[in-house]
Amino acid sequence: MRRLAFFVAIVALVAMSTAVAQQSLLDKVKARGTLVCGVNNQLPGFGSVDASGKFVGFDVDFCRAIAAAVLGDASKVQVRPLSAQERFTAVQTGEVDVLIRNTTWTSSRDSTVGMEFAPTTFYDGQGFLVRTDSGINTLQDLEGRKICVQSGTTTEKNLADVLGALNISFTPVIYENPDQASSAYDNGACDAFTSDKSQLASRKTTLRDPSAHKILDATISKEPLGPAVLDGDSTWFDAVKWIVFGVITAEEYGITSQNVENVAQTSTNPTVRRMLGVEGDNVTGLGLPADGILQAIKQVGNYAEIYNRNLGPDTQFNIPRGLNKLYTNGGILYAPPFR
Amino acid sequence: MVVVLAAALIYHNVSSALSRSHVPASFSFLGVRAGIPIAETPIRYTPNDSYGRAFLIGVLNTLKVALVGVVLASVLGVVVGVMRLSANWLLRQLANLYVETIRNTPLAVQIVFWYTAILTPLPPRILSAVRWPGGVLVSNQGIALPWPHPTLSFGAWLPYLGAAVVLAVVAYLLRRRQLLRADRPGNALAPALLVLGVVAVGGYFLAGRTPLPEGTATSFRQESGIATVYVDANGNGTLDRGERTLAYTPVEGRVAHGVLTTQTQDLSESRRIDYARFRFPPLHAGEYDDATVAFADPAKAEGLKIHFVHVPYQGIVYKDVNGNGRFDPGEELASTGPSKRGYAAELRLTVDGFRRRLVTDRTGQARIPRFTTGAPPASSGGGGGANISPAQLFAPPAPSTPSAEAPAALQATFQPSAPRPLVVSRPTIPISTYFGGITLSSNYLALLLGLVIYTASFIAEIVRGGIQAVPGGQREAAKALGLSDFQTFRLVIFPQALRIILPPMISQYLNLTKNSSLAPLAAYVELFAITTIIASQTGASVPVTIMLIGSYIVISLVFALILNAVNARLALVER
Repeated sequence: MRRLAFFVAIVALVAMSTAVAQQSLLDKVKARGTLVCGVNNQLPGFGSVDASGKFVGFDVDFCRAIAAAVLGDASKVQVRPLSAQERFTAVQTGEVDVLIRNTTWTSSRDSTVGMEFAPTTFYDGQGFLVRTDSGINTLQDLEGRKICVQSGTTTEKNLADVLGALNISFTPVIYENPDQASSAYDNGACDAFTSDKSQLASRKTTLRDPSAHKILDATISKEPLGPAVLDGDSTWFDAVKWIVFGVITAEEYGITSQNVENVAQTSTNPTVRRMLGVEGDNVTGLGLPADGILQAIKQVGNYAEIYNRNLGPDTQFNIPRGLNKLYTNGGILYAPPFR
Repeated sequence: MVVVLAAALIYHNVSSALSRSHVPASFSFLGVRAGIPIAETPIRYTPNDSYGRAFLIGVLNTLKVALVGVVLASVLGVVVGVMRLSANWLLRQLANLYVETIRNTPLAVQIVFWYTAILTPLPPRILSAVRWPGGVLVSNQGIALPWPHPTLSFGAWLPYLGAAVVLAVVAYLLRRRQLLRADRPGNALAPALLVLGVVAVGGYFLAGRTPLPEGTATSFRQESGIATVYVDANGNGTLDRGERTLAYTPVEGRVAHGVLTTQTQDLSESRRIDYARFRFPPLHAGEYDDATVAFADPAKAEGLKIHFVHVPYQGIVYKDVNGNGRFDPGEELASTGPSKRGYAAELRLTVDGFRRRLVTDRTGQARIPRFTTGAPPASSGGGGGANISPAQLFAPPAPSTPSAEAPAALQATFQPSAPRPLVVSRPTIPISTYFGGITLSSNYLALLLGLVIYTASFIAEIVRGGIQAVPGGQREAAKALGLSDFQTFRLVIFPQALRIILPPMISQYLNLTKNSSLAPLAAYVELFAITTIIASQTGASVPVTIMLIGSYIVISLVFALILNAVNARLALVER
């Protein structure tokens, strides 16, 4: 009898959870009035806590842009710091609405892990941090050197595969955690330190003398980082996707947080007018308020503004845009049209 | 019954959970290419080998630290244990202090301490490595020692070695019988060892040098400085896949004329922030006929001079401010603040008649510094480093294509020679890692030191307890027989104490072995570290964990088996 009750309870729970899933996260977020966003809190530049206790960073700004577009207020974000192990579970269990935590878009995460990846916001890749006085300028100069590796799912494998293909022999030192690896590198245990370039840029600022180190130009892997949401909720996925595209498109058309309202009134470009909600139902069709994208740009900024604020030349990281330039400037940032 | 049911339940649970969660539960991944780079491998290993072999490397690295650790911990433990009972107040207190501090600090803290606070920051960096007598090199990458390796002539020596052992045993038995007949004390071991030594050494020279196989050739890759000694089976003059390479073969490398390039700023000591220091990969006296250092771009180095700390490979670039023609402190082109940068001059060391005696490693390779022919330095040749896309890298015909303009080939010759049965490989630093000899890496040393010092504090207490457990009457009786203090200890006290000491020692040995799993704290890749990596790469965490546990159990049981046998032999035979 008791077992039967248990079984019934389980069935009821399952039924409830499917019932809940029927309702899109977009409506839930609107009803709740806040966006719960999973971020990294230990990667300065992408997600960290500033001196006043606020979460700041490139990823955090995309959280704010989504909140501005959906709720009309960029400050209505509840930031949830997540570790690398926790992040997917947090999305699967609905603890966070969207995960923007320097997460690489891979096929297994898209399929078995059950994520859906919005457009890539940062094209990253594995690189090398070296001392400027080491005479290492290209991958070939790594010949016969000692390289500190932060053990991850693919870092050491990429290293072995790529340098192996180039016939470069090296001595690896594999560390379990990134702090240990970078302090060993700083102490001169290795000639080079390899990890994702964005991580290296952020780690570089924590070294004893950041100016005595540089990141090599060469990139040895593809690490596209972007927001991820739960698979199977296309309404929410579409909204997140097009908010990101909106931010990118804004840069393409020179729309900034300063001039966006002006542009909305004066622009004659139909694409811009559709995106800013002045004409057509392109934005409302996504389930967003008509001025959703406009608010995101106004309150947070276009892609270039977000990038420069967190990673640009005026910050301590000064990561060159590289692949993250617009396709018109030689990068691969390309947003489909608002039409 | 309950146990069987529980086991069945657990099995069912786990297997159903696994099949639900897509976690691979088979061992099929063991044959797959691992792609894990490992620095220290007791046997041949490349990232192209399988996960199974990578796992085996982990097991061997665990054994390497455990076996050496057990021996060293025993020696240190016995010494400290005896010191704790010493009549000398100072020794006694020192031993007390050691035991009490070490025993009461967690082992993980000690390993991190040795690695992070002592062995990485304190010793000089690799390019300033300290040279100890006998060719030992010490730096924060560890200690490199000269090491003898068996060569291809070793087989010719083996019969002599066998004969030496047989003759030594015969000598021992004869001498012992003689002593027994004469009924007088004496040492039968010494003559046996003498016989062993004489025959073995005599045989070493009689065995001579086995000539190198027909078709032995050397291939040299200038961009890496690696020369490979191989047997050119098909006679086409190039090293092909599948052709045999000659390990541990002496080879003399010569470079008629070569250039090494460096920048000012000293990699090895950049923490001192003297940006005008420079350093070339160490050359040694007698390795070259002539060497000169000059600025790569004299136009940019107007008014600059070079002061040598070691001619020609270490020095300071300076501006002769007071015009006295020599370097005075304060004249270096350095700034002392961390944010200010000095002038980075590019320097070129031109070497004529470079020669170095090397011994190939187990892959048949020998390494010299990366000389260039003296063409414009690579770094000024435009494209610092374009993005290399994975597709580009793995394109089928892709050979390594380093620089835009192909530099003229270096005039380098490598002359392998027929070796005696053993060849001593001496460590060198061709680029910025050790080559040759045997390296005790700082990672290995940190783990070893941590384990040995920690375990020895427990062993010391066991030894002290064991000695104190020997009845006082034994000591008095020995004194009464006129034995000296040392004799009393060696012949009377210690053998009796050993019987008490050994059983608890076995547990300490096993503890040391299992504690070696703290290796990742020192970035030493052993069993535990390698299984973590394999699990994270393959996702096969369950099979990998089973293998991990199984390996530790097997290692521990074998240890225990051997030590228990020793214990049984030493135990008091009661009649």
